[in-house]
Amino acid sequence: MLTAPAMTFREWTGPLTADLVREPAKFGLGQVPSRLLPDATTKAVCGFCSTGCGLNIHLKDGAAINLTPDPDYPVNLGTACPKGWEALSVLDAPDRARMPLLHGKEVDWDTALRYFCDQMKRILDQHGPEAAAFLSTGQIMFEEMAFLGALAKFGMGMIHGDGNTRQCMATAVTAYKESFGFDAPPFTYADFEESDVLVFIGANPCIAHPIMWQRVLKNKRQPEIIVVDPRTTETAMAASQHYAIKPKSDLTLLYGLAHLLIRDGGVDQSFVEAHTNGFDAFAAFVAAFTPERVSAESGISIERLLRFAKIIREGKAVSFWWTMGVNQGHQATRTAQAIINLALMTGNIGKPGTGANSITGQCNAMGSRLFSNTTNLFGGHDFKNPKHREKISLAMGIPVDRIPDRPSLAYDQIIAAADAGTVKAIWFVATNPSHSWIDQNEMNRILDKLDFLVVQDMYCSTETAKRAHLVLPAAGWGEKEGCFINSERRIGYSPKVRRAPGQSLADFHIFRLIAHYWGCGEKFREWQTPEAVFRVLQRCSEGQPCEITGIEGYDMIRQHGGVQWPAKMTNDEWRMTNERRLFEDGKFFTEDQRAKFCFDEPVVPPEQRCAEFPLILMTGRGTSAQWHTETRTGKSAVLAKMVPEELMLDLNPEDAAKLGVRDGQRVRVISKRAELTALTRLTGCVKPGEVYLPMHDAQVNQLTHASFDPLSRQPSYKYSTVRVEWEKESIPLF
Amino acid sequence: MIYDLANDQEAGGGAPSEIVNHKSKIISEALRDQQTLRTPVALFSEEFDSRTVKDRFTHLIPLSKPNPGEQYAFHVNLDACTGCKACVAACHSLNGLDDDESWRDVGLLVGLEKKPYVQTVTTACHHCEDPACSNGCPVLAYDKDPFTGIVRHLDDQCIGCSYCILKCPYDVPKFNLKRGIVRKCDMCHGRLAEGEAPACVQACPNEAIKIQVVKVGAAKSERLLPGTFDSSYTQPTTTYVSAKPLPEAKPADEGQLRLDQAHPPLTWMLVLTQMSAGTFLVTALTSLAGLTGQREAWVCSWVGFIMGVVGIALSVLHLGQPLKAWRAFLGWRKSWLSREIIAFGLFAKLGAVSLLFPSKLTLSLAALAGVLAVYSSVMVYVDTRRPFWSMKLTGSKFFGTMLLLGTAIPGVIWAWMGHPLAQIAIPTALVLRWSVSLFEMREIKLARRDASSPWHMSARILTEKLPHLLRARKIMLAIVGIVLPTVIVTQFQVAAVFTLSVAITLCSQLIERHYFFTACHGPKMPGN
Repeated sequence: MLTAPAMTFREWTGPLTADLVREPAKFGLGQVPSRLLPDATTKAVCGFCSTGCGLNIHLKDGAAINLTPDPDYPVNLGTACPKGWEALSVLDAPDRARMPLLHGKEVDWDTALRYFCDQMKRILDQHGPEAAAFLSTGQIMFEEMAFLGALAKFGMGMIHGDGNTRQCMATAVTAYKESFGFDAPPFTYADFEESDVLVFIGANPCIAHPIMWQRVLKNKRQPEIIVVDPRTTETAMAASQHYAIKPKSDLTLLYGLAHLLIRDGGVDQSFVEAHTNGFDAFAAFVAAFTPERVSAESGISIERLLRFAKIIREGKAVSFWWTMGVNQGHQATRTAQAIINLALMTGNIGKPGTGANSITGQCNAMGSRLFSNTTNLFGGHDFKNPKHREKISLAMGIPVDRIPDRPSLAYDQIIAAADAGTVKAIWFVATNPSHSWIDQNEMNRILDKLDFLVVQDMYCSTETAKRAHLVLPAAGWGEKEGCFINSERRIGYSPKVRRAPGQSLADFHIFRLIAHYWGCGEKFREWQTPEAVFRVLQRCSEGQPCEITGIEGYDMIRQHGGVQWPAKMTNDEWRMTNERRLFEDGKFFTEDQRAKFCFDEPVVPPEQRCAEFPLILMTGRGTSAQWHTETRTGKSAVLAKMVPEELMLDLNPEDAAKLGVRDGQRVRVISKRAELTALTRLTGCVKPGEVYLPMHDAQVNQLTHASFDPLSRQPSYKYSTVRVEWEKESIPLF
Repeated sequence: MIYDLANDQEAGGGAPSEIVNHKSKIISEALRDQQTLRTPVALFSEEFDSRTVKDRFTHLIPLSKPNPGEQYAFHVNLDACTGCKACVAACHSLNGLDDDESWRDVGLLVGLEKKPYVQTVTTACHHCEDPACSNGCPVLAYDKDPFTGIVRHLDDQCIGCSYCILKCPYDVPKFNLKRGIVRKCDMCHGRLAEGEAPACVQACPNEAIKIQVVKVGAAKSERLLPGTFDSSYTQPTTTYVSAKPLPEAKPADEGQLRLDQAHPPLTWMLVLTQMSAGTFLVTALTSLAGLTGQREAWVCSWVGFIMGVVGIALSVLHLGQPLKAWRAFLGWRKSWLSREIIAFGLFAKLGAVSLLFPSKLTLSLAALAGVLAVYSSVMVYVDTRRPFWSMKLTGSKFFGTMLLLGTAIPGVIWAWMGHPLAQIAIPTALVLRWSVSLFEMREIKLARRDASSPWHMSARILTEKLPHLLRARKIMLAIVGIVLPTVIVTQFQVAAVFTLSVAITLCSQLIERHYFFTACHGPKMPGN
């Protein structure tokens, strides 16, 4: 853009200066860029992670033009991470799916829907109800999730469906269910501020959940912050103590802590006797986890183990927090339960600043846990229980014979069935397994065998969409309305503030159209709007721990700053406060209202280091600007600049010296399954013998070894073995 | 939702065409609903936050304006900076910046000791006491506010020459291609004036960034952070604090070999103007010594003049806002770029005079102006204090090019004109060619071997990222330095062969001048 000069020596104002002028906006927003001055604002809950931040959406003529974090929302108190700030810009990406694509060619919706129904019907008719499955997400609203689960199972007659929540939350679900009798994360974010001791295990909230870390820093009690992580993460740096255990020695460490707590009188006997089962057997079990053994297996000195146990023993309010380092392990459920056991035996549950607390992954992971109709029947019910089926049949107005009498296979089992040929069609909704699934090449080989692969997504460019026979273009967050449930069980509302590109449709619309084309529209007559579905789900939740019958509607959710479950019609206490925790009365959701101690002997990870593959590869989050397979975050230029330009391999300088590799050098990382190239980043933050790669790069999961927790079926992304090689660079002679 | 799903049952009873109609109707209704936004009233909008921005951040900005001898400055608590990068995104959104533009960045420090250490670092403009950007600007497009100390960029004054980018040791000003100008952090001066916190301050979940008032001229630490530039150069005002002592550390991206921005118009401009100045110099010297006649001098001056004018004209292509370049003399008090522009203007004018009024005096004056102009070119780069652009390296490259091509061009002319001086010019050019090349090769080799050399990284970039360029230049040297002289010795087509030799040398110098920019590895704040 050329501009003509003014006939003065210095131009203090002009069109280029005017581009950046800020002026006061209304609504308490302060100054905003003049060209982005809103004429109204509305509030939404962010659609990336499970923190569930509130965002003020700036509107002009009803459409969103900008956003700022909501200072009045109880979750984030006026801040957001970069993903939240950039939530609108990723909607404008050029690779948004705008039309249905059949074998890569644009078709109209009528053709796409007919093709979808013809293929699915043919496969289900020919091969039975187990031959088609859906695999969904934690990224769409729970009213939509519920529609998918009901449509696929009750309408179309499928048996199997699961979600990518299997990759992040399945372990916490399984652990809570067995220990507490229901999938019930007990905490509220205020617990971050009210703890005297916070123990983070396999969690890096500074990067993965920065807004939760904000709450930790708001803690005025000068708490002891303990991080258990093989890597020196940003969180480990910010903590008061870091236990850099050997990878996957977490279970042993936790049992060792239990051993020391019992030995040194750290058990809350009265709580254990009044509210738990199985403690004696647990105590006998952990007797073998002597400090000597635990020290040898975890790499933590006995002295430090004793110190760790002492801090827990002496802490007034101790809270335990875990994330993917625990959930994605080969014994993940038992590890999560070992954390729960510590909270139970020390009585650190049901009180402010306590709890065994799973920090969830995706914005609607909790919603999908309760209302996706995959492993559980709606509302945390059991497919196998005839009474539950009857109850849901009544609540939903669905004939009881349409409700399957068995739960779905887990994700990896569906994929194995596809490999075996019994599953012939898979319908993926808002997820990208061609990138994210463990041992990715194997996954892609199996996907290519399918008779019918449907991908329903915002973007037509995802690795999975490129393999699909049919792509259904979906509207994204901000282009549709509905609710998410965050980590602390808070239901938050998100409105429609943008027009979706091309002919893309909200998942809700797509499900309604499929119901209609399938010929089962009558069953979903009541399911007119997301809010109508919300009411159906309220009825399903009645009498469950997750009961939400008291919520009057979306308006109430908004005005209340989100509502945590339970919110019963019959009980008004929840209306008084906006931060509630569970189990304050010591009563759990098991039949005898007692929590259960669950445990198992630790075993070594299935893939072990050897001469050929001498390094342990751990994978995980790269930066706070990246989300999963980056189908969304990769589309924001601002987020892109927060990420290293090339894939970086964190390598200990000792290993580098042995290999003769220097900082910033291009190397090959090789596992039994595949290889990739990366630039080295030499850092003592990974220990010798260990390397780290961020999971967002499309190649990283080609390296990972597919092993699963036997109880939760969650993949173990944190332990594979690799070697690092490099080629001598040719340097010209002088 | 407008349409009724249950209708398909009723429609099912009708004729097939009705079913089709109904189906297409519900699709179009779904599409219409998808494109319909609710009114603000229905979205429960027009709500006010319970506390305004002004109320919420009073503890993070100074209560009063700076007194004389004081200025505003960023204050960063490293212990609270844990790498979320919200400040980067907020700066972009709250200031309405373009595409990937943000005036804040977050980098990473990693420890060098055995004890693991990692620290994220948020960084923006340091609003220096002695801002190098401002000192280098040829058009005075920077203003250090006398009351607040904020270093503001005057977007409508900027000519987009990018010199401030080269001058700033923290890589703060950024070129905005769409607008053809540079833009940078203004500390949200308008917000501060109204008692509102800057965007980054508002956005930090951990309150790591504050605005404070600092005394101008107060003692500063040697450098802001490990791996950053010597603070005595610009006197940056940002303070980084931590309750824990900082161990020995380095920026996480220190080992990365990155290529800096190439500047093709400047590459051509530098080589052509140096060739031109050298031609005038050699012409003047030989003329003064009485070795050449007026005719030879006149032809040489014309060729030198045209090359110089073309070079100067090409440099205009480098500007984002060339129409405003007439103000480039304004910064002459401090800016070497401004001086260079004035010097080349003078050189061109004196060159023209020497053509219109040929005499030993006018020719000598033009030659003198040319040498001064090349000296100012050298100083433009030396003044950035970048190690790869040290006086030794830049001076030898620029003056070397001037002497080499300044001998070669008259040599070519004399050879074609059959003047005997060609027989001296040709071997002299050969000796200069070898000297300039061997000097540079030796310097690269030494710097590459010596990790403590200030331009070690540039030498590594050259040998590891740009080996093809070095190789190409070596092949050219072999041709110009060995093959062609052998041919010339045989007296075969001396003028033509020497012209070819000079053309190859010109190419070689253009390549050298290309990587003069791309291998520079300018200083910056820690990156990822």
